Amino acid sequence: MSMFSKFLTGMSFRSTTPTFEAGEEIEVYVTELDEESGELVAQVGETRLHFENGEADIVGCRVLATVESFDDAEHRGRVTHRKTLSQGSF
Amino acid sequence: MSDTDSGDGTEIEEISGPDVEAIEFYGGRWMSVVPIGVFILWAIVQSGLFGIGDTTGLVAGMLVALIVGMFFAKGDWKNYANTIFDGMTKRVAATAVVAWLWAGMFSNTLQAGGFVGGLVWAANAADVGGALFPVATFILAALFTTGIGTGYGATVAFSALFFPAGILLGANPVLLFGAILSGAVFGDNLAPVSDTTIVSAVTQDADIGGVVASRFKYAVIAAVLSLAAYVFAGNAMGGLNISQQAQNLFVQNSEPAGLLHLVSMLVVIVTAVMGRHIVEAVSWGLIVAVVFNVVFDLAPLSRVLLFKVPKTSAAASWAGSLPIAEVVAAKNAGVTGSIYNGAAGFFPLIVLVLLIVAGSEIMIRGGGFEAIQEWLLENVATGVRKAETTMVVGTALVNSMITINTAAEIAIAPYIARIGQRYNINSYRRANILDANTSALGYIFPWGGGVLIGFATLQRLPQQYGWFTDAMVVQPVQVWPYVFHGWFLFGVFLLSALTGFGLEYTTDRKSKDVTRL
Repeated sequence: MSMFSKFLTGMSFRSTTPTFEAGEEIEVYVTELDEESGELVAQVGETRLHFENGEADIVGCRVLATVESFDDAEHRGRVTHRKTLSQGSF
Repeated sequence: MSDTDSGDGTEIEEISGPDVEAIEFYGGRWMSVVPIGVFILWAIVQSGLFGIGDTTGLVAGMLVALIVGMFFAKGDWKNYANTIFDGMTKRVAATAVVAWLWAGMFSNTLQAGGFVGGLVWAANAADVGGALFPVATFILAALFTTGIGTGYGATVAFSALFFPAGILLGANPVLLFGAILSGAVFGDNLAPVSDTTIVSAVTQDADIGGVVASRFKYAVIAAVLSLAAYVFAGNAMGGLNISQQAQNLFVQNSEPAGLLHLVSMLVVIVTAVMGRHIVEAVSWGLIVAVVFNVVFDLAPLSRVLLFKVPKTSAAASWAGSLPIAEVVAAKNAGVTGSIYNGAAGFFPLIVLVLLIVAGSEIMIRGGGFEAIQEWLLENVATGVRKAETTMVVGTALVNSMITINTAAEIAIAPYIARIGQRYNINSYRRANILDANTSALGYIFPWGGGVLIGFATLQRLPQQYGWFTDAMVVQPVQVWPYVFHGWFLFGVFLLSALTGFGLEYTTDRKSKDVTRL
C-alpha cells in the first residue's frame, strides 16, 4: 500500500454485512462457539462465518482462515481454520 | 497485549504464556471493579469537585484504591498482590512509557529552540488581526501540537505567548482560549508522538504510522468545520479594549529562526509514516533539533543538558569549562536541560498508568471486566453500528470523568478492543475511535486536564504583564462551548459510527507489527 493510499483508505460508507469470495484467505478474530450448531463463528460486522474445524480454545484469537463458500443473500459463509496467529488484545 | 506472529507458524500454545490464576472476590466478580471504581471516584472528587489537576494526586488515589480492593479479595492476598506485578509489567504499559520518555525529550528540546517564538513571528508577518487571530491560533497550535505530540505542553506555551498577544490585537478571550484548546485536540489526536496516539495504537494492536494515516480523514473534516466556525465566531464576537502594546509584545517574543524546527518535526512525522520504530524516529528528530539549536544559535547546548556540579566536587576545578556543566553552590547541585526535564515531566503519568494497568488486570482476573463486557454486548452493543456507537460514547464518557485523558484512555482501551474484536472491527478504526474521543473530551469540560493547565497558565499572566488584569483570565466553565474542534471531532465519530463512514473490518487490511511506528 502506497503512502498516499494509506491516507485515503476507508473513505466510504461501509456495509454492516461485508461479503467474501470462495478461496479468499482472511484474518479474523474468532467471536464465539455457536451453541446451536456447535461450530466456531467469526462475526464480521453482521456477517457470520462458520468454521469447518478448530477447537473451542481459539475463541477470541486472531486466526488465518480460508473462505470455502459464501451466501451473499444470507450473509453467511463457511471457512477453514489454517493457523492461530495471536490471542486477542487484553 | 500479545505478540504477533511473524509468519513462521507460531502456534497458540507457544504465545499464550503460563496459566494465570483467577481472583475471587467477596460479593462476586463485580467486586473486582472496586480498585478502578475507587480510583474513578477519587479522580472525579479531586479534579471535578476540588479542581486539582495534580497527576501525582491521582497516583495516590490509585494506590489507595488498590489497597481498598485487596480487602474484598478472598483467600490468600498473595495472588492479588502478584496480579499488581503482572499488570505493571505488561508490554502495553512498557511501550507507552518508552514512547513518552522519547517524546518528552523531543518536545522540550523544540521548545528550548524557540519554536513557539517562530510561530508568533509568522503570525505577525502575516498581519493577522483580532477577528482572524483565533483561527490563526487554532492552525498554529494544531501544527505545533502535531509536531511535539503533547497537547498539554502546547496549551501552556500558547496560553503564555499567544493569548496575551491575541488579547492586545482585539481577539475575544474566550474564543481565543477555545482555539488554543482546539489546536491541542487536533495535535493530540493526529501526532505520531502524542501519548494518546501511542496508547490508542498499542492497545489495539496497530502500527502508529498506519493509525495516523487512517485518522487523517476524520481530523481534516472536523478541522475544516472548526476553521469555518472560528472565522465566523471571530468576526461575530468582539474583543477587549486594550492599549496599543501589541506590536511591542510581538517583537519581544518573535524569533523567526525557531521555525527551523519545522524540519525537526517533519523528520519525526515522515520517519513515523514511513513505518520506522518509535525510538528510532523520535531519536532522529531529537538529534536534528539539538544540532539545529547549536548550529543556528537557537539555544546553547546547556539548555539541552546541563550538569550543575557542586563546588564541593573534586571535578569543580575543571567541570565549569565544559559546555554542558557549570559549578554551583552545593544546595543547587543537580541535572537540568530539555532532555532531563522532557523525560522527568512524564514520571508521574508513567507511574499512574502502570498502576491503572495493574487495577485493570485485577478486574480482568476477578471477572469484573468480563461481567461489564457481557452486559454491554447483550444489552447495548447488539450490532456493529450499536457497538461502534457504544465505543464512541463510552470513550467520551470515561474521558469526561477522568481529568488526565491518557489515563482515561488506558482505562477504556480494553473495552474498545474486546467490543471491536467481537465484530471484527479493524484495529485502525478501533484506535481512531479511542483516540479521537479521548483527545476531544480531555480539553472540553472545566475539570479536563488540558483546560486546567491552560487556566493555570492564564492565571500567571497578570504578574507578567502590567496591562493584564484578573478579569481577562478566562474561567474553565466559560470555554467549553468554544472548543470547536473537540466538539466537531466527537460529532464526526458519532456520525461515522451511526452511518459506517470510514468503517473497516479486520478482513479489509492488516496492521503492521505493533512495535513499529
